[in-house]
Amino acid sequence: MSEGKDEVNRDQEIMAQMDAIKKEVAESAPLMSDVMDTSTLLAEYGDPLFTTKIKSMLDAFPKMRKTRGDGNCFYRAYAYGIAEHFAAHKDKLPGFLETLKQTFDMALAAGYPEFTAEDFYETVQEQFARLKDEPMEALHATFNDDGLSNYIVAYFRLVTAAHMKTHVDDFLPFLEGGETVAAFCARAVDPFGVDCEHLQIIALTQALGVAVNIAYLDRSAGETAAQHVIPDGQEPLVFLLYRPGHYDILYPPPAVAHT
Amino acid sequence: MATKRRLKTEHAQFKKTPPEGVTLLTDDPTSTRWIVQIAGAPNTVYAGETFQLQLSFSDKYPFSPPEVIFLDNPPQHPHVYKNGHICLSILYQEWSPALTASSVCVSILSMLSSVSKKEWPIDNDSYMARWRISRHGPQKTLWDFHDDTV
Repeated sequence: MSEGKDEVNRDQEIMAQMDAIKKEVAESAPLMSDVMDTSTLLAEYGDPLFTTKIKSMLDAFPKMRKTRGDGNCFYRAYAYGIAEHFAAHKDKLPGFLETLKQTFDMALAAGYPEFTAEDFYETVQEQFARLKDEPMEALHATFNDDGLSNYIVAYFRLVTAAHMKTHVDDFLPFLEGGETVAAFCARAVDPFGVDCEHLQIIALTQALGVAVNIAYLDRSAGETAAQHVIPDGQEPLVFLLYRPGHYDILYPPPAVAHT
Repeated sequence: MATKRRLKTEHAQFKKTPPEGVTLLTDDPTSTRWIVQIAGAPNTVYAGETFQLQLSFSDKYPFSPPEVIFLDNPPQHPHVYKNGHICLSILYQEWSPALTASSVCVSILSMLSSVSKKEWPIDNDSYMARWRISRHGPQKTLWDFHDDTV
């Protein structure tokens, strides 16, 4: 009996701890911050490996915008970056809205229930369509509204999984231990708050046709932050900063960001 | 707001096109606690039996899963504890906002259909002993999903 009690206490302690961390993260940072100087990152690191890499990218990316670290950061940051791009290039917005519509058809083809997919799709379509005649500030509020912002994340996750499920041959060779694409999506794409890794990024950027440039601020050797464009060879429209387990947005000069 | 709208839509959809063997008994579309009856599928060990599920939705739904338990006499199944708690990954870590109350019930019914004999979970006694002390909800358990075949 006493052993059972200990186990209960341990489970509940771990769960309480996880809840406390989530709450602390939620209270300490907005979903999407305002623009700030990338050099503010220097204060977060004492290790010269990191400070050298940060200094090396200040010219290329003088400004940045932070994303809340809740496991959805890649999806949210990428969606935000896309919105900013089309806010600045309104002539290209109709093309993107058309692509979004195609992703909805793809989600249905991948077997997602129509009315949940539609619920998310309509929210995303409606919010991005506002950029036709509204400024990015309007969408900044959207991205910081829990409900709307999470609908966008949920839809981008759905598109990621739908793309993988409708392009099984492209992704299956990269899965480990005989895992199926469906099992991978159920474990690593669909659940809200599960970190996004390389495969998911490939799938999502292919599906939406918007390439992303990622600068990697990690422990790898070298004095500069390595950069990769996904999908390879395309012109990136969104720039992100990767730190182990987390993504923020970077801005090349002149900052296309609003403040 | 998003939760209420979503639940209302799901409720209407569930009533209009219920999956085979699954009936939503709760009539109030604004309720956040639904009772669903599921009927054991023909040619399975639960054929002819019916069970009731309770689905409770928090204001974080659909971004957090509904809490789902069997009421009263739960089916004797290796993933269902005697207190009605269900060990099924989509109810916890693998929940996705693209799933629905209806699809969850279908998964539970299919979980029942996949066994060839009635057995309680091997750790039922120790789980129940812990639960009698804590009375914790199933979402407060750190589930270990080791068996994908059942």
